[in-house]
Amino acid sequence: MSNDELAFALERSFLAYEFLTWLWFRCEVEGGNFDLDGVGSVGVAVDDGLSLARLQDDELKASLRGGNPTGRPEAANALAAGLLLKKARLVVAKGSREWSFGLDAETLDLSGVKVVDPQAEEEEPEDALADKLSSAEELREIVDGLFREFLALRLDDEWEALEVGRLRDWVRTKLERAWQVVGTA
Amino acid sequence: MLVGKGSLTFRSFDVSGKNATPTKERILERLETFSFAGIDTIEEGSTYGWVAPDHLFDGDFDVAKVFRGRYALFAFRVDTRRVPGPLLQAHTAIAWRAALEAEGLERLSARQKREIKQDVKRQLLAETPPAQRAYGVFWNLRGRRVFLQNTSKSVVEAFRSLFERSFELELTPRLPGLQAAAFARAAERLDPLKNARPLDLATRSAPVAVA
Repeated sequence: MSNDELAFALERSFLAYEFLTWLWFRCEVEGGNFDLDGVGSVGVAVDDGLSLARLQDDELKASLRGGNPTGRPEAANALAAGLLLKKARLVVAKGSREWSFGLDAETLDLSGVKVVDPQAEEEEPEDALADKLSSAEELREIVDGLFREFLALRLDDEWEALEVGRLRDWVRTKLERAWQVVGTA
Repeated sequence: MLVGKGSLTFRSFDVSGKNATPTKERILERLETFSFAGIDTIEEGSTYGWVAPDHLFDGDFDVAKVFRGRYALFAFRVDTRRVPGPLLQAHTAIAWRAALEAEGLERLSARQKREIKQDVKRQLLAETPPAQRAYGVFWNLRGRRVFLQNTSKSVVEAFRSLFERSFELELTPRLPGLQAAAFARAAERLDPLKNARPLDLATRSAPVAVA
């Protein structure tokens, strides 16, 4: 890969901030079910440890942890102030398996991956270590599949024509709800 | 076991190059050749090398230990020896004073100061134990994917360099911009990617700035 190609790719890293924010929107508005090419059906939830930031502006940021952070007025306020989701702890489910992990938009690295699979625990896998590594790799495939799903939409005309408007409506609705919550407090 | 311990944090890479799925024999041979060989007691800095997956001092690369299911398992060991700045400054100040008293001088030349400081640093380096770390690596040979159980920039860069030299293969990290470029190329959507501008969801009705 040439230096120009690398620079071009790295300048588009902001897409991962948009991806995490879009994932949050899809989870809240459409329930978080995705049917991914080559992966199958998965369920996603944005769980905890939200870190929001504005692109190219490290000064403006918000961190929310515990107590259903995605529904808190501060989260709505941060989105409406133009911040996007930079980091979050997510839950992904596929079949009997459920993963809990951190996802960082800067790198799409997975952190603190924990997996629960009641079915596998009952069956006692032959090689628990190989099974754990395979499960981590499967999660990587799912996250990459979700990112590709986002990119297909993001690089389509439908993004500007439809999805951006829906995202803005979502932020407005969250903000209105936040005002109601703050007003009744 | 250094690989797969606890909850996992990792960076993923795609492996490419001529013979991107090497034989078991070649992998063991290359791990042995680039195995961790200890750290110099004189120089300040870091030394890198491969160790077998069981523990920090495991230099025994054999088929049963390294190959599990579809993975090759090993670890990237990094030893760093560094004299803390304040410690060096304090010991140097003591040595300068001792030299002044011993020589009956009022002041030392810049050269004398530099030489004394270098001697002190050499002595402290020999007395300072290195920080020893090892990070698990699992390599899906058929899938041509490598996973490093660390995400810090310096460790990732050193790992990538050693891996590429050891196996004469190329590692491409699965970073979002690179993934987006690869996707756009395959889907013939490079123009939309080129023209993509960051999303702005800011509304004029946001009540207060978030800090």
